[in-house]
Order: sequence, then structure tokens, then C-alpha cells
Amino acid sequence: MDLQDLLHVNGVPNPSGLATLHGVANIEDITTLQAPAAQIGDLASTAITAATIATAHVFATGKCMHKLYGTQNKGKGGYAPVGEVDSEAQKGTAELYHPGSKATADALALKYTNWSGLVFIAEADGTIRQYGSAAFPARIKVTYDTGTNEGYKGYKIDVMAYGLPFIYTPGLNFTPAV
Amino acid sequence: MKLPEEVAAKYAMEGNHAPGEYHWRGQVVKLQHISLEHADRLFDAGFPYLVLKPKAESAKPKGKTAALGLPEQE
Repeated sequence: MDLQDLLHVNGVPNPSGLATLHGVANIEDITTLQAPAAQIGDLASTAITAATIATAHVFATGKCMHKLYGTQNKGKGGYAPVGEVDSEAQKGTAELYHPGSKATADALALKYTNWSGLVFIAEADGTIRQYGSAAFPARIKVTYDTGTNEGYKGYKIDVMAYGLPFIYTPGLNFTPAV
Repeated sequence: MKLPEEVAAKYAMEGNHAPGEYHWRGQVVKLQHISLEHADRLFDAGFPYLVLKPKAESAKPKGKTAALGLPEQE
């Protein structure tokens, strides 16, 4: 893709932060893992083809994304450049806060300890970004903290994946494939 | 779960996706409960999980007279 203008249309809504429901998927549950249609180094590529995943992943029968709730106005996501000159790339990170003290969350903390896969983070405006890829799956670290009597009790879920978290336009899919 | 009858008459699910819960562009879509009007709006906006079914062929094939614009003879 060649350089292009980067503008903003006056008056377009731009809510910050995250939505409250996100998705998590095992890469092994996906029979066809989609990726951007082109690479940025390809001169024929466009912003859409090089920086979005526009086709839905194909899940194996009975599989789909799993729901992950995060408290509003506490989580955030994003990416930043990493690496040395002439070797720079991106690293995506997100953090979610899940309330409570519960066995399911504890068990998932154990599961995620040596797990990697895909995490789909929903932003406040409905944009979904995919953290992780076939080459660099996302890792999750879970921290539990009771907080203080005037604080927050629950789990902090840290997500990290090398690579830019591409916009995943098909959205979240919580229905098992047939 | 199935698409509602009126929706299923016009649309099918894309690939091996099943009617159910999808979150798309900030909307929560439960395909097993949507109306045809809602399905039309989703499809027109680019919702990726619904595909149009091919239109059914006319039950009575047109003959030569119809092609010429003449009334069909019984």
C-alpha cells in the first residue's frame, strides 16, 4: 500500500474504551483461520485488505467463540511498536476486569496458564479486534485480587499477542458451527 | 435452532454457521428470532452470516409465444 491521507470526518462518534462482552477461541477449533487478504508490503494492497480480516473464521462442528465479560470503564486495549530500527513490529495488549470470586474463573486461570489462542476484544463503538494469529497466538495472564472494602474484587485478565490486532469485521460468533 | 420460516424462505446461513447469537457492529443479533425486515436490513448492511437463496425457477416454462410477446395458447 502506498501512503495515503489520514483524515477524520467532523462529527463522527468516537466513543473510547471497550464494550463489556468479548470472545475467546481455541485456534485448534478453527478449521479455516482467516487473515488479511493482502500484506502491507504489497503495493496493490489497500487499508481494507491489509489491515482487516473481512471473512469469518470457519469453526469445526460444535465449536465457536466463548464469551468473556469485562467490567465497563475498567478495561482497555491497544497496540504499540516494538523492536529495533529496521526490525520493528507491533505488540497488542489488552486488559479486562472480571468481577467476583468464582470457581469458573479460577479454573480458567489455570487453563490459561499454558494456553494460547485468539482473543476478540469488542471496543465501545462495536469494532472487534483479533488479538493473536496462527503464527503468534495470544497469551492470557490472570491475576486475582480481593481489593479493599472500597475497591474492586475480581480478576484482571491481561492479553498479549505479537502482531497488530487486526479489525475482525465478521464480529463475535457465539453459536456452535454445524 | 433454525431461522424463522419467513427468513429461511429468502436467506440461508453462510457456510457451516448456524442460526444463533452473533455480535456485529455493536448489535446483538439472535438469528433464530429475527424478522424478515431485520434480516433484509442486516443483509443490505453487509452482515456476513446470511446469504441469499437462489430464486426459485418459474413453475411454468415460457414457450416460444411468450418469448415473442404473444399470448400463450392453451
